[in-house]
Amino acid sequence: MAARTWHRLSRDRTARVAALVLGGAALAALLAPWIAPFDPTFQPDPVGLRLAAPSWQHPFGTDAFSRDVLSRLLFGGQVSLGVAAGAMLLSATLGTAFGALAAVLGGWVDGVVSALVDLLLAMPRLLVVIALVATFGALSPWWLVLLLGGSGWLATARIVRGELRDQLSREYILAARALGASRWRITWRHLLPAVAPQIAVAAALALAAVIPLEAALSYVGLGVQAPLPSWGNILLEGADYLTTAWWLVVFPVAAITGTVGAALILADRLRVAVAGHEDDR
Amino acid sequence: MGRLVLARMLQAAAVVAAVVTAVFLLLQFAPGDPFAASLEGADIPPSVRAEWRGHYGFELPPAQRFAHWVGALAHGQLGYAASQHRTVAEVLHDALPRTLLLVGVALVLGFALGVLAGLLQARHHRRWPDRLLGALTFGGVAVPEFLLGLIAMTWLAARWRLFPVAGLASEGDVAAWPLWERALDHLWHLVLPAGVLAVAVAARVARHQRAALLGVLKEDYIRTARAKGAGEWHVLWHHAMPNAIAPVIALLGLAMPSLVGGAVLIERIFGWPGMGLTLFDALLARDFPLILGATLVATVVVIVTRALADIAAAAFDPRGLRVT
Repeated sequence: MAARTWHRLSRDRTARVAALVLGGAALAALLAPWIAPFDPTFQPDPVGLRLAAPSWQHPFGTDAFSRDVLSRLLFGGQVSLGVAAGAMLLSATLGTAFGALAAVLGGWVDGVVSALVDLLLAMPRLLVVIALVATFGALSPWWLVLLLGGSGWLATARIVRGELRDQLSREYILAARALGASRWRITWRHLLPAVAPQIAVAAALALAAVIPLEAALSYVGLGVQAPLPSWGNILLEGADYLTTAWWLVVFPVAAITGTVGAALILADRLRVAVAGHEDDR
Repeated sequence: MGRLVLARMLQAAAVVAAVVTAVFLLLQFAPGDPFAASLEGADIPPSVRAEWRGHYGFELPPAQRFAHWVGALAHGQLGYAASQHRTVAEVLHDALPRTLLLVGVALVLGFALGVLAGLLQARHHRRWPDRLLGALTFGGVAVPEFLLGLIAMTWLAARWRLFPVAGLASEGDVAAWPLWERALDHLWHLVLPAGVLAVAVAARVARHQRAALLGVLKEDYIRTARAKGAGEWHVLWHHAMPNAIAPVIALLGLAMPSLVGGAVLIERIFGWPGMGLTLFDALLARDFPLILGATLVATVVVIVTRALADIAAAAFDPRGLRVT
C-alpha cells in the first residue's frame, strides 16, 4: 500500500518539481557558508552601498546597513527553514504519537485526546503563540521550534487517528492479532508503516503552515531576533524602505512563498498518490 | 437541530472555560508586578504598596484569586490597561468593533467571491476558466496574508498612491466633513486591509466550493435533472448548490482561527486600530492585562463564530444533520 504510493509519487512530474524546489532551498541554506558571496552581517560601506539596487556584485541588492541581501537570505534560510523543519518534525512526532494512542487504546484515552485536539484547534494559533512569547519574553530559535511544533500537531493527530481507526478494522490486523502479535508490535510494524504516506501529507501541510508563522512572528519582532537573520526579520528591516528598496520585500516574499507553495503542492500530489487517482475524476 | 445547537453551545462554553483558565495561569506566570517600585512616585513607602497589594487581592491564595478574577470577568471587567490609562474593557470596546468590521467585510466579500469562483470552475471544469482560477486560488492559499498585505501596501499604497497607506481615516479636520464623506473616507481606508483578507478567504472558499460541487455533480439526481433538460447553470445553482454549500459554510468556521490570526497581522501592517494593533501596542508596553484581555476576547469571538458556522452549515444542509 505505502510502497505503491511512494512509487506513484516518484513518477509524478509536478511532485518532483515541488520536491526539487524544497530540496534546493534546503540545500542552498545548508551550503550558505560556502555559496553566500558575503558574510550576512558584513557592512562593507554603510554610506556608499546603503540600499544599493541589485547589481552583479549584489544580485539581490543591499539593505540599509549595506549588507548583501542574497547572503542574508541564504543564512536566513538556515534559521527559517531550520525552525520550520524542526517544528514540522516535532509536530509530526507528537501528532503521530497522540493520534496512535487515541486510535489504538480507544476508550477514555481517545475521548481525552480528541477533546484536547478539538479544544486547541478552536484557538487562533498565532494569538496563542504571541501570548506565550509575550509572557516568557523573546525566544531563541530552539524555543521557537518547541513552541511552533508544540502548537502544530493537532491536525496531524486528527488525520493519524482517523487513518489508524480505518486500518484497525482490516483483516490483516486481525490476522496479526490471531498470530499473537502484541498491540504495540501491530502499531509499530503494521499500522504506522501503512499510514506513513498520510503522515507525510500532514507533515507537508504542517511545514506549509509553520514557515509563514515563523516569518510573521519574526516580522512583528517576536520571533528570531537580530542580528541572526531570518526571512521574517529581513522583511521587518525592509518594511521601512518599501517605497525606495523593493528588493528588500520582493526576495524574502519570493523565498517564503516559493517554499510554502512547494510544500502545499507536495502535500496535494501526495494526497493524489495515496488516493491513486486525481480528486475530481 | 435543537440538540445540535445545544451540543455546539455547550462545547463552545467548555472551550471558553478552558481558555479563561489558561489566560489566568499565564497572568500568574507573567513577569512584573503592578505595584513594583518602578511605578510613578518611587517614594511611596513599602507599607503602602503592601496595603495596595492586599486591597487588590494580590496576597490571596491562587484559587481565591481565580474566583475573584472569573467573578470580575463575568461583570465585563478585564483589569486595568496601565499603558493606555484606561480599563482593558474600555480599550477593547473601541477596538473590537473595528476588527469585527474588518473581518466581517472580508468574510462576506471573500465568501461571495469564492463561491462565484467555485461555481465558474465547476461549470467550466478542466477548461481555461477552471485552470486560470485554479492557479489564482492556489496563489491565494500559498501567499500568506501578511505578505500579500506588504506587497499591496508597497505598490498600491506607497508607490502608486491609489489607497491610503495606513489608518482608520484621513488626517486633518475630518470631523467637520459631512457624514457621507466621512463614511466614504473610512471605506477608502478599509479597501486594502479588508481586500487582502478577502483574497485569502476567497481562495480557500473557492477551492472547497469547486471540490464540493464536482463531488455533488457526480450524483445520480444531477444526471436525472440534466436528462429532464435542465440547463447547466440551473443544475448547478438549483440542484448541486444546495447540497454543496454546507461544507463551505463549515469551512468558514474552521478557517476563523487563522483568519483572525491573519487580521491581527494585517491590522499591524495597515495601522488599522483594532484588536491586533491594540495587542501589539500592549506587547511593546508589556501591558499584560491588556495582552491577555485582547487574546481572551479574540479567542472567544473565534470560538463563538465557529460554533455559529457549524450550526449554520447544519441548517443549510438539506440532507439533515451532518455534524463535523
